[in-house]
Amino acid sequence: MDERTFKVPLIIRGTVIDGDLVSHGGRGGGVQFESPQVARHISSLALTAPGTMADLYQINFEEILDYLESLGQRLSPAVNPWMEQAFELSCRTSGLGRDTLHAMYLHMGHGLRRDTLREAVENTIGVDHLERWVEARLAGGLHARKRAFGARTVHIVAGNAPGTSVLTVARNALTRGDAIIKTPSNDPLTAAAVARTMIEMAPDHPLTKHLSVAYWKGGDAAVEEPLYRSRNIEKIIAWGGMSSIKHIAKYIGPGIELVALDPKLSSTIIGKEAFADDASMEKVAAALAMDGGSLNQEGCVNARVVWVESGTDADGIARLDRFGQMVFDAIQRLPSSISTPAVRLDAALTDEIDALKMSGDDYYRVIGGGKAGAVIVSRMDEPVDFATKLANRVLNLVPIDDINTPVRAVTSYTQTIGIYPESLKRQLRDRLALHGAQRLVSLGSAMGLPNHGIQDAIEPWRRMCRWIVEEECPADLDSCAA
Amino acid sequence: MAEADAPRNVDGATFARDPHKMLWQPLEASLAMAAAQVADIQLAAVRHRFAQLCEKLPPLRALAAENGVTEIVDLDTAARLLFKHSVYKSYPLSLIEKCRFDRLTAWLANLTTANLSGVNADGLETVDDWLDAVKRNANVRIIHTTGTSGKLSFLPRGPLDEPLQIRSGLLSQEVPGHPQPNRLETVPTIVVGQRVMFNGYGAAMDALVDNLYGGDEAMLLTMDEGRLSADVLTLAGRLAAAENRGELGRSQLSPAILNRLDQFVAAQKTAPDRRAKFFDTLFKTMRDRRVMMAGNWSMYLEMAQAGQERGLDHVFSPESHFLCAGGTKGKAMPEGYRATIASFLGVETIAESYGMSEISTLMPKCAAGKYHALPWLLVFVLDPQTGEPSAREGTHTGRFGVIDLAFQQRWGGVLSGDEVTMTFGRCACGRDGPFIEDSVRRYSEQEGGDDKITCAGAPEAHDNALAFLADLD
Repeated sequence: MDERTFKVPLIIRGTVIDGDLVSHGGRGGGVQFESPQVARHISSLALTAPGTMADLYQINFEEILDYLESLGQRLSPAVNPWMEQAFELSCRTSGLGRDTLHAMYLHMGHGLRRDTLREAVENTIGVDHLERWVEARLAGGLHARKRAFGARTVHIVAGNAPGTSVLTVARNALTRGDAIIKTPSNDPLTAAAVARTMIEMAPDHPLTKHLSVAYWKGGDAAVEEPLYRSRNIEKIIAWGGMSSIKHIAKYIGPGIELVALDPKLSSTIIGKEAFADDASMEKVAAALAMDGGSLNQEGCVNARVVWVESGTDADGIARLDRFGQMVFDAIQRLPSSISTPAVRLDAALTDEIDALKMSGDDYYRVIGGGKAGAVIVSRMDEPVDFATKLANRVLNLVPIDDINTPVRAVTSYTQTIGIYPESLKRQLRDRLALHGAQRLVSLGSAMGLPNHGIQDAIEPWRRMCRWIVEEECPADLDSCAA
Repeated sequence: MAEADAPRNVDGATFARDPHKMLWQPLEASLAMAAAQVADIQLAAVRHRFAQLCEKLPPLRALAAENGVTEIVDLDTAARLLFKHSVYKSYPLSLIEKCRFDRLTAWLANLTTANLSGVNADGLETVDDWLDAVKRNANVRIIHTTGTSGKLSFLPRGPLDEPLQIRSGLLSQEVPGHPQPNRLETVPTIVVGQRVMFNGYGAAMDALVDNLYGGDEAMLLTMDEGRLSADVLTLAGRLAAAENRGELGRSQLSPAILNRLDQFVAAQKTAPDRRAKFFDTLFKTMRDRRVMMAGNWSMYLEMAQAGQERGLDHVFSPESHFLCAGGTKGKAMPEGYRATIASFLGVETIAESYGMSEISTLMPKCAAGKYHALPWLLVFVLDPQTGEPSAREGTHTGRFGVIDLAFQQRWGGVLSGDEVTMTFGRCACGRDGPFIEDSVRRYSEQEGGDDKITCAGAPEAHDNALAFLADLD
């Protein structure tokens, strides 16, 4: 066990605070790290004077892109000791393997490329709306001029993929917000490392001055009660964590908006076409392995329950068993840059799987198990009772006769559904959407993060902004009132 | 050291063949057995039990095959034969909704050598009905766990194992280092629960009535004359599973449950009133009298708080017997709660013990504050990650595993979800170990206590399934 002590600084708008440390974590094999007591710094962490955000409007969109691109070039752990340290700590806290994390940190800056960011903004807010008052004339002659302003926000970032910290920094910069990033214990350092790099690169730049990064234990009332007030912040953007969202909910009231990217789960629907021949089965199995096995199934986008139109009769189950073996094998073949055997097993899930293995084949058959992951083939058209716990590359293949069965299983907690073939996706898409599904993708591409700006059935880029309108009557005040 | 002085009427050969007979020794005799002798008996006994059960119980056979065990050469080999607690709940929940109690019985039959072929599942509509039918038709009592959200484990207790219940109940009233309690048959038992419960607590109460009190129901002072419904306990898990299957709504739950729903909801609403009335009557009629009770800290606390509200203290005779098992059940307890409770009850001490639904007997706490494994409990500490057993000497912290050698009709090996610190060696009380520190906690509590945030997840089973169902159309 590595005894290195990690320090997680508190960063408040360009100032690094790393004294007066308290210890966190370290229970049950967890990693211990130290950070300053945030409760003692609330008065400086909270931005009570929103007028100070005016400096963000002295720079234009292209200059923001310049800044971010230049930041992106400095984030490789090979050249950046802060990021190197964040990578090392992540290797101890994350559910991802070292090779996978290494690939992620190496390419961390790619998300800050100008073309990528420009596309994202154009497809969401529109660059114009960030840069100027965009005028529209409404019926009756009224001029309405709209502009997207930055907001004072707290971002509760998820720790299952370090890229969320960088994405949050980019979104905050482009929307000209003032962000406080609350980091999670499974990735306490990445956001701070990015912020330190910004300070080193441009200590007095407005973008550097409108980012703070803090670790406190989620739910700590000594921090959250004084901070989560409408005079300090306008929006809380929460990336996940069932308990973190529940904690936050009590502070939501007039003046504070919650942009909730709630915890979600994703699934898969595979039509009978997959069984056309062995080559099709192999191809579909490989695509499913990508959706289910990438990033060790740590993400909300990863496939978990897989509904397969194999049929539930003996032939159908036999087909599904063969397919299940192909999927298991395909998962084992995934390169370590995107997937590895489990870093640590989830005890509750392992207990459930082991129990199924001991209990005969009447209801479920388990292929694999342990750190390699597993494919559980149901013998009836029902997922396992512990379906919501599936992780560490464990997929549950569920045979169906009726393609409507999986539609009924979709709820508002269903994020992505990977579907094969395309014709089935088009056939089901309206009904899946009505039931709650939020993203429908071609099988094998669930992990992509295209720049359409839609996430969890909302538009977080737009929601991060405060949309302000200026209205002008066509003539004098009298005619307007009339 | 005086505690260790106890009769040593040990017959090693008999115990190796019939380890359940050890229960009939006085508690002190069991505790006084030397560790080396216990280890010898346990090795012989576990080999014997494995040989008896391996071919008859498919999950045990599968587990042995999976771990490459054909013969138990030493106690460490036996550590590879622990069922995950989840083995006792590996049935699909949908069997219950579909009223396929025949298949649930078939699933259960894999876990016991008791003959379940006489169980008539025709027309059964609820878990409660099924529990009754298995008892009635096959004389097998199922002990279920009491998790409020999720799925119940079903542990079968065959007719040959039934006598363990009464004996272990009496054993648990013996306190190490204290004289054996006398004339218990004249001492009424307080039950902070329902009269009919198919959990371990209920099984113990039934055994008391039948064996200690000669069938006299009046000796139980029961809070609630009704039943702890396994159907209500499973509702939360059944709803969550129905959601996963794509079947949310009342229409997908078994009609028998829905028919009884109003009754359940009404019972829940009137529960606080009934509890208050029970305490009123109990404190009045049993004032200064000798009573018995087994419970967990939160039951005792509720009682003490009810007493304090009524301005009462030192309510029962100091000769009473109070036993606490099951810790605080994850609830935060007020400071000094043990003293508060003891003072309210009017006794010097409350006996404590450690155990779980899966085993026959609670492990008593000695004067040095350690829980002692009884000789029919072959205990292990295992690495929570690898499952490797710790050496059987010195002190180790890890996952608790046990093979309860007393069971004849079920494999007694189980891997718990508890983290324990256990010592193989001599305890400060003078007795040989193994003994367990008073620091037992659930691994799940530990994991839930951190601050990891991930975007993946779905809501847990509804905390209050009854209220949820009542609102659902």
